Amino acid sequence: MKRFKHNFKSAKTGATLSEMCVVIALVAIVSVSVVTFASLSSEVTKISASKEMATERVEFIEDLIEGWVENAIVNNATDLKVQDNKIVAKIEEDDINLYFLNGNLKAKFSAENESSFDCKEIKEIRFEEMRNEKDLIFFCTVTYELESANNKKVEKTNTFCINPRLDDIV
Amino acid sequence: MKNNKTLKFKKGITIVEAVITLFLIGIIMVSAISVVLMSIDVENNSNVAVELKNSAENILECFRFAQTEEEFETAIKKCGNYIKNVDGNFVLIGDNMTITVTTNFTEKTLKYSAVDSQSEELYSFNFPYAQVPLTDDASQEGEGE
Repeated sequence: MKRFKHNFKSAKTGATLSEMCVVIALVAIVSVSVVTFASLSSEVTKISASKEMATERVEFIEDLIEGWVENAIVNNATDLKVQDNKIVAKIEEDDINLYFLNGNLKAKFSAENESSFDCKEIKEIRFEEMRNEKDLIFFCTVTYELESANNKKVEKTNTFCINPRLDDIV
Repeated sequence: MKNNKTLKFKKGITIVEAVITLFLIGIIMVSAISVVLMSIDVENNSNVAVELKNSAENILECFRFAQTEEEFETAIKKCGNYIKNVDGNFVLIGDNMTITVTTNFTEKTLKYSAVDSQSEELYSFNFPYAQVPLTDDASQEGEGE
């Protein structure tokens, strides 16, 4: 067996050309694999972190809107409706509302209680309503951007329904 | 001095050793890449599960709201690109799945079914949910309480 020595200058004792080619090819394969693994894992981490953050934010928005609607119903709010892309209602003489503006979700729960929630990841929230003789339903469409492969961003929308029922709340 | 030089020259690794080492590194890398690919697959599946949960919730809310099939159709079209097919079912064709919703407003029942691209069932339910009769053990426990 010929020796694969540190001294490559020694033609008599060093590896043959074909052996060197095999080794170089294997080193190349391993290097490519390492680079692929590193880039793939960083890409996967980035994409999954982006998805997780967006999912959490959408769930937070859903909970907040549900909470706002529940609060309105529990406080005997009247005139609950969607107007100019805002959910609005009246508690006694006070106007309360919920809307999205410049990356913030603004919620006015009562005359004294008003909050603003940072939702920078969200591009847009669209509110719609539908009503019949018995019931009312709100549709909230949340648009946000997700990290995608090759540093691209993809826009995603998520719609959820909120059906404010007094029976379910009290 | 000469002996040292000879020793130094004998320190090299054989081609077989080099090849085995590189093969082992290669196998480890292939395993690592397959783990990453598997995690991508798991994440895709979890995304599908989240989408299914969301769509099922929306469908149920719309169904509980709607008094007529027309109202239901209007409502679910706000939640996604549902299309009414020739059988009167509402179908949503997504990237990895197809959701079919069958309604009966006379009996106020709904059937939800989601299949993947290979037509394998991912999730299905009927509304109102089927009542599971109590087993003898369960009914006895209830009586005891």
